[in-house]
Amino acid sequence: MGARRGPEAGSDLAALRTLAVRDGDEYVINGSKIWTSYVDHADFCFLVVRTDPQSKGRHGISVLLVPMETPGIELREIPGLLGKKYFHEVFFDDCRVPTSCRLGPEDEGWSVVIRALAFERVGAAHYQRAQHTLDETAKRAGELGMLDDPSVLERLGAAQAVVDVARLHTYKVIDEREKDAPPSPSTNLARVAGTWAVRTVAELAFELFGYEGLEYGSFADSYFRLGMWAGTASGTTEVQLNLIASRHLGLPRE
Amino acid sequence: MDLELNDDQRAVQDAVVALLAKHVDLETTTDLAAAGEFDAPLRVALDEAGFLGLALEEETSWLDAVLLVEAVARSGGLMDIGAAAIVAPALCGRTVSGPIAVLERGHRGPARFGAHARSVLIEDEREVRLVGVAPSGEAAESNFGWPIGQPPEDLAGGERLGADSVARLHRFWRLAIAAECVGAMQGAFETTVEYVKERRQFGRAIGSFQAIQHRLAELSVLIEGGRWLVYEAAHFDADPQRVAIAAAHTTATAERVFAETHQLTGAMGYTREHLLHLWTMRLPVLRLELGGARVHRIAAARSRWLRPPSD
Repeated sequence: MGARRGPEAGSDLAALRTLAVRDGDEYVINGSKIWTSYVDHADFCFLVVRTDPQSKGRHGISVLLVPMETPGIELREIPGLLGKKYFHEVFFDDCRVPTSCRLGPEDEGWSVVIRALAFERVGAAHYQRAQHTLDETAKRAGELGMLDDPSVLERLGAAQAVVDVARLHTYKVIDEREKDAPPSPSTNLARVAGTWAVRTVAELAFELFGYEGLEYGSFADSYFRLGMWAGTASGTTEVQLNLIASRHLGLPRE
Repeated sequence: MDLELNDDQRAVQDAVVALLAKHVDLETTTDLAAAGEFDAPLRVALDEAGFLGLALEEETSWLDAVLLVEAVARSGGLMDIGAAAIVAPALCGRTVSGPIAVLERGHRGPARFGAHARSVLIEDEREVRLVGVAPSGEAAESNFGWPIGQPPEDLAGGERLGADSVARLHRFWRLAIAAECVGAMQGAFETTVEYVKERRQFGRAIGSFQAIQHRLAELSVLIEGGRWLVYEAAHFDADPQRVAIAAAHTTATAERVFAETHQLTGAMGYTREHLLHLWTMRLPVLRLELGGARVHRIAAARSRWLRPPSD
């Protein structure tokens, strides 16, 4: 349940400032994190903290798995457009957890983060939900007699291609995982393709379902809300494109 | 489904690449393209090495043929590779003398290899025919990177290729178009990536600007996605929905690759002194055949959500 960022952080994760100070066998956590989805249902949250207060950037970061029932944790719901009880802010005020909550080595949590993000970025099978939504949209269009219209067929066919591209990029990542290959730029390609698929299908579903999609919680509305957010969650499209440019295409940084 | 090539497929690919390295010279190809000619010695070399009939061998599949077509297109090799290694073997069950022109129903005007063809595959109302012809050799003047010419007027008779040949033509032609697109797009893309790493403006390589990086990164998602679509379609024996999707995506991407690679290579990319044109100027022609992205998309949608089309 991907709660992980201090409010000052965001896409530039290495800039986070939430502190966990070692006190014997415990860490004392102070700070907050934001954009935490589903945290009202969560038993634990992953927390990326700075364990070396003098450090900057990627060094001095650790990853903690914090039980949500720990005293000193407070939740605030942030009203938003993506759904009810969707965004939360979590505050840590002298929140004490045992050092056994730490995942990976102290101050060397960056590698844990990178690995976890590589999995998260493709973890959800976006293409499969996009495919389901597209099939439902085509079915709906058929019921409305719209499949006699070549322009509708053309858009459905174009959307199917975008979904299939996302599916195959995702297969590539899964194939690499199965072979135990280290995370590669395939993950970033798959994320970009997945975002395009969600957005393309969300737009088409919204148009073809018509006015009934205006109602909160309706089929088209639910997917519309997912489409709005697809290029932002767990690493923006721009961050993915930066990584593809540098790691995959070898383009110079400067 | 395994997404890595197996040892046999890799061996074929290596052999093709070695042959292409020996036979494809891009300066010669530039002259051929400007003159509206094709690379006859390359065609002979691939034919004699048995590559054109690759798909028909017992231990190979359409995926091997697709790898061949992609490799030739990526190398810049100028010949009728899609028709020779995919369309003709799929329809005739053998290789036929080439170059080969493929004409869809109601085709009018010049065509790829129209004036150079020794064999023409022509789609009629109900059937495809294979017609042997004597090439006029009179290429039309064309800026597009293939030998473009008027097909012979008399295309009567020839060998009738059976009741299912129209559907088969559409399936395998789409597979060939998509494979040629992927190879040519990759060639254009790689040339452009190298160019932006070298080219300096405002004191830095232009490839270090994020505005340029993002556009190239997006192209890589599209082109590599296209490659997987083509491989999957070939793996499933040119399944109608999959080939329509592959052709729809690659021909639509071809339009974007053309525009972006030319934009990013600036004035240099519009000259024949830079190699980009060898790949880009072939793409618009591939976007016309069988009706292009619009028709491929409609075919894909029909195949997935309606009854299969009668043709």
